[in-house]
Amino acid sequence: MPDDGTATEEALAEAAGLRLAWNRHRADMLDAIRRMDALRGSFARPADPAAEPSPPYALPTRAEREGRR
Amino acid sequence: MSSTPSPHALTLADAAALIAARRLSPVELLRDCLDRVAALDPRLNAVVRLLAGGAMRDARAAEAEIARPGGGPRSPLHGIPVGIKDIIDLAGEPTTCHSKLCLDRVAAADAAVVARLRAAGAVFPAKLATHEFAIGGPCFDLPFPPARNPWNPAHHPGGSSSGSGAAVAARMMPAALGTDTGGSVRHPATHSGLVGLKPTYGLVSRRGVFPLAFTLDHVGPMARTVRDCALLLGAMAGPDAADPGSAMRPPEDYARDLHLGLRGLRVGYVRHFHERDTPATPEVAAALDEAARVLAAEGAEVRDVALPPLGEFAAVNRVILSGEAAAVHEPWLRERPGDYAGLTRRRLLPGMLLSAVDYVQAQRRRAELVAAVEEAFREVDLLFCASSMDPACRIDDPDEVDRTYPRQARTPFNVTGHPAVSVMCGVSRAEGLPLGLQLVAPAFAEATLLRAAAGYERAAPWREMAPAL
Repeated sequence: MPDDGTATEEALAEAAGLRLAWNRHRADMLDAIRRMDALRGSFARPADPAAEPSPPYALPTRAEREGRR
Repeated sequence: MSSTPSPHALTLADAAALIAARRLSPVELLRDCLDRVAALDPRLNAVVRLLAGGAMRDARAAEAEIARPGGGPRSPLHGIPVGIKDIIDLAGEPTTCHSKLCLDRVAAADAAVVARLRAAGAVFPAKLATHEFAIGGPCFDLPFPPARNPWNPAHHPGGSSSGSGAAVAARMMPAALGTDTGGSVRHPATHSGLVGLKPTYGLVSRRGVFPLAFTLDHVGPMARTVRDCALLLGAMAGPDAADPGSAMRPPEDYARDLHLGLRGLRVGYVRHFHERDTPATPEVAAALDEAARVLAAEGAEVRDVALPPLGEFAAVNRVILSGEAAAVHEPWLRERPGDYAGLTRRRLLPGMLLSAVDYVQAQRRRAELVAAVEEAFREVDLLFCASSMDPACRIDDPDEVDRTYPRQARTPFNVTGHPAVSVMCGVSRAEGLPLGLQLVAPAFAEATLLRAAAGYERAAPWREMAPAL
């Protein structure tokens, strides 16, 4: 493990199979870790524990939408 | 057949009308477009691979078929040159994705959308520049240079369908295909002064298009007018059993209502996107307000509508896109990270660090965002909002590219899958660069969307403007 305070980041890169990127593109890896950390908390989680994903191709037509009312 | 003064300057619909009247030959049209490419592309870098030979062969065949006694064009696209973003397969040609990683990746078959256009009689003069793998931004460390903005080549043309935007805006060809995962058809349409349509998710097949993010990817037309986009969509749309996301809906005549105008349409103005969530420059905000005034003057009932904050849509788009793109690129990111442009690598690596929970949470939140937009469509027929919050910045200013690229309101409709179109709505005073707006419709209501866009286009002065080249 390095002694430059990046042991956690190195472990994350290793776990993701990105050893080569860590060795050769260290700044990009650190930037990626920072960006993903920032993204994780950037949208609200559904409050309903039973909320399910819905694929975009399930979009209703207008007639279907009005039929649901 | 007799020649026309400047065939390359014709819109798709005007060229089609002359071809149908046998006053313009597809060969003359293609030859003029190829001359235009030769004259301008050294400055604009829109073309990755010129396909002059194959296109000329197809144009000659079209000319013969149309001229035959009792013949005529198969469709309005017969003999029309259409450029292809270089992540879309054209049989026998490399699909490079503008990347060192795919230089030798020759397509065995046409993408479904290319096959449909070919059947309609279109010819394909060029594979066009893109941001590498349709992600990132303009890069100078790739096998091909980045496309530049015909309105001012010191600026970027938008992306990732950058070559499509530059080629059509420069009148190198009347139309092109782009792809749109986070706004990549509408972004270059906005910055290049074009019409760019992202259809409803699933309306146009993605088979044979190199994926960026499966549940966000769309293929869309880019052209100079709304009518041209409607004609293209009519040939592109349709079910495809080999595309898991295909909507299995038959194509329509999307140009059928273009003459109806805006009267009677209820338009919801999503003002908070550019006023509160991601404040636009005063010039962009003023152009949008003026466009809202034009919509109302043409008979639309314009009222303010609120959606979830723009940042929610953007974050959900980014998490889903990052996860799905990382799945596509995993082997290369692990084994050949140095073969990407630095910017592409920085955009793709975060997805490798995403947890399964984060991805599923984004998909769950996405369902709520879809429901919120659907709820808005209970009260209005269309939504109206910003596209980019800034004019295009200089292409050689990576910090400004990094700052301005995310300042946009296009990703919401990749997240929700609703159809959205960008139309020119102004020109920046300082740089002389186009500004654009967006109109958005309920799922599969492209005919209404294009009707409204055409109504605005007729009433506004921008359609006649062209870059000074």
